[in-house]
Amino acid sequence: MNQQIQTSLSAYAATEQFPSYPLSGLLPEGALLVFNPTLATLSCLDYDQEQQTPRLLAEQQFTPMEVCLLRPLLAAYPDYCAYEVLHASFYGPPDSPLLDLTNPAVARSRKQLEAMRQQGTWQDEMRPLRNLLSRIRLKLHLLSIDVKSILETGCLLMPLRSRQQAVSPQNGRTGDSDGR
Amino acid sequence: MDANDPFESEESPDLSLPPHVLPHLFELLAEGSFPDAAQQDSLTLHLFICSWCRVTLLYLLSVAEEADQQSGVDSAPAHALLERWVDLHRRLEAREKER
Repeated sequence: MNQQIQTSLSAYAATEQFPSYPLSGLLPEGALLVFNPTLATLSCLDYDQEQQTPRLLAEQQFTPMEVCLLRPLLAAYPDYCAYEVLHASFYGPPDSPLLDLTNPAVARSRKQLEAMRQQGTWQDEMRPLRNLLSRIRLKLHLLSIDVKSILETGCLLMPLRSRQQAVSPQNGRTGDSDGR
Repeated sequence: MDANDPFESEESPDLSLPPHVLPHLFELLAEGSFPDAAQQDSLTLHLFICSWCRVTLLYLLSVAEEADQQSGVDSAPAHALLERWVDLHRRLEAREKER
């Protein structure tokens, strides 16, 4: 897919108020992730050159709590998403706007997590959040994306390295990352 | 504005190009080559100022720790190194946010 078509796809997604994420380096060449806030689905689209139509490669649905962590993860790419951002998003109101590092709620989470790290209770505080991240990771594997955590720092989206990538025009809409 | 300038760029820079140090980090961690004193100084100085390369180092150390665990090798040295860099990264980021 050329740059022009990708721009059109992105523009279409933006006008329909579906946030789109090209995630260059993570997705197959020319593909795009589109988030549907109403259905909480993340769809991977590309453009079929032969049919001259957009094509749905894969789709996953997330729970409202998963969406709280998914959105900052996607928005942070290609940078990592700091745990204080994920913490503030997790414990904040579910319909809150996307938080960044300058948000007061994130600053509060940063202080809270730093205190917990010093007290040795960081893992306890983060356990529910990390459990949720594990579920998100499994769903993103079906879109050929991995979520790597960096010790007490944050999470980073990376390409899924496996024997068979889940998302490709050849293997269809869904599939397990290891081909089972 | 130089898109690859660690001070100026908000966008993801190409870490394989100078002044970034991804190739040196690979040499250090994957190939086990050890830089001389001047190279060490320059590497350390860059890691102090560039969050992108620092996070890359944290990621590579995480991968090294995981690889050690999977191959049954003692992962404590990799973990200790990772902890030190995580601590340094946290301090540097905190200082950056205070500015």
